[in-house]
Amino acid sequence: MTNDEFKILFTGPMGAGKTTAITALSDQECVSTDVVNTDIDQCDKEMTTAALDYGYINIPGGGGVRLYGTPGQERFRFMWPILANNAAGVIVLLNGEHPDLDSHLSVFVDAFWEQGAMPMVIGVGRLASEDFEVIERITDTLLERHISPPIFSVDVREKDDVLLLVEALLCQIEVNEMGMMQA
Amino acid sequence: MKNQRLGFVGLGDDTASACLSMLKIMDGRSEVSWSHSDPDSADVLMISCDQTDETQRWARSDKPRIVVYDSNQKKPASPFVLQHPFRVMQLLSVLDEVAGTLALEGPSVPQPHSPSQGVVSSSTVSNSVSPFWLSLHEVVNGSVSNPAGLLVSSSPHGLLYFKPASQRFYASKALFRQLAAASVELGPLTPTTEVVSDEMVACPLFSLCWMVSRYSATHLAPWMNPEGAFHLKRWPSFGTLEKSRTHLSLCALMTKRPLTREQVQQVSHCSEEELDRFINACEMSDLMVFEEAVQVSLPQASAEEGKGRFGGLIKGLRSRLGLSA
Ligand SMILES: Nc1nc2c(ncn2[C@@H]2O[C@H](COP(=O)(O)OP(=O)(O)OP(=O)(O)O)[C@@H](O)[C@H]2O)c(=O)[nH]1
Ligand SMILES: [Mg+2]
Repeated sequence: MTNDEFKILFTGPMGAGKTTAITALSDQECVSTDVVNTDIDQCDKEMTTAALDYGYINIPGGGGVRLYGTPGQERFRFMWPILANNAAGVIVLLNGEHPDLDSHLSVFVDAFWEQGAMPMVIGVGRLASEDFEVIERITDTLLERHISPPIFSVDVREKDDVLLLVEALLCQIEVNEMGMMQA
Repeated sequence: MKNQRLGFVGLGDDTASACLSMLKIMDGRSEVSWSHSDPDSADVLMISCDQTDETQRWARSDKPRIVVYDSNQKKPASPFVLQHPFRVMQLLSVLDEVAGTLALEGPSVPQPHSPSQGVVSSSTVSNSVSPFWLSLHEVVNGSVSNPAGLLVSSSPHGLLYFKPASQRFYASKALFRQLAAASVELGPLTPTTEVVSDEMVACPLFSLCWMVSRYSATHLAPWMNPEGAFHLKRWPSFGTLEKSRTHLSLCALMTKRPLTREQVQQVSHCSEEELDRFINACEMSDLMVFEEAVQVSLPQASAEEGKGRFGGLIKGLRSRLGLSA
């Protein structure tokens, strides 16, 4: 990765919306390695990402932002550290309706939190607009483990919601940069 | 309970109004109930140490005096002194001392207790907060006898209930809509034996604080030290908090390290009113940690945009994505 690029990573379980979110942001058609989903138990949809999603945002005047999505299925977990290497921040997408939400939370957040060193944002999908209980429960669960990223209720089919996640991440990356300059 | 009157002489408006708000907070915590009066009819004077005609005239009176001095001024040689800015507990302690000497001098005249006397309405005082905000402060700080119970605040648009145990508010959808959209006059929270009706919906503490702070607490609440450093324990829930860049960056900054209000403003370009409102709402929801001694230095270069490894890229990305500059 050159100096005029940085990388944002999207992660989360199957069907949380990683491919959808990256597609919403990316300049070109997002390069997905989607294959027919054979794990309909975990998630009832036709396609799933096997290796990774990749998108790119060109910045006028030079440089760009690489967007990577991890495969959702845990059997591809070996890919995560490779993709996380050098990332400026990570966006964790969750399905608020999924019965395994709690285990998704520990699997995906724990894998990337890095004691708070990695800027992180959590987006929880499929919640009713006035449902604050799920977000509160996630907040409390993570706080018990001293993890306190921003958590938003989002629908990644709405580009504005995806932009909100990106903005919350950028604000944290900026603050981290200040720390770096202080040192 | 005994009533005593406190008169102000030569104090700045800010000090006087902070003091009035504090008296309201203290109500019921001290042996004596203090109310505000003009210096002539006061039992005790709170007087500035600045030498003016007015302060010198009152310095000759035989009323007990609490001399208020600034941190950059020499401590006055007076039995009762208070360094400005002071906090509720400091005021409480000096008033208790003064009250002790008054008790020795003989019983004070019992006064009919008039609650309105000591309280100045929020509109007339720059850094005071509304009676609702004060009462909520008392409740969340544990001064309710039965936390499992229910409290109620009345408004022209209906009742607002608060359950301290679960930190939830309950009201009709219509009232919450009003609270979010316009200024609603809420009375102080008082215990009630009523029950929340089925049509009412719940609202978490922070969300309500954020809505109400817009017209109830736009200046830093008097129980916080304006010179202190503020540290956010975690990101508040963005249910009602507008998802603007200002708020996102306030959260990112203030969760990272303790900062003074001045430092936050320098980096975030947030207006003072917006910042105070944000701090007030977070403090009320127990999301704020305070540090008295400010030893945090702000990285100088950080205040400037476009620096750092990603600085220029972030700017470019924002404009590319149509995120506000
Ligand atoms: N109803 C509803 N649908 C949603 C919401 N968020 C995402 N979706 C849908 O859920 C699906 C998510 O699919 P993908 O974007 O392929 O998910 P993914 O994270 O890439 O999944 P894998 O690649 O299998 O790991 C899409 O069909 C979205 O339209 C939501 O909040 N509500
Ligand atoms: Mg996918």
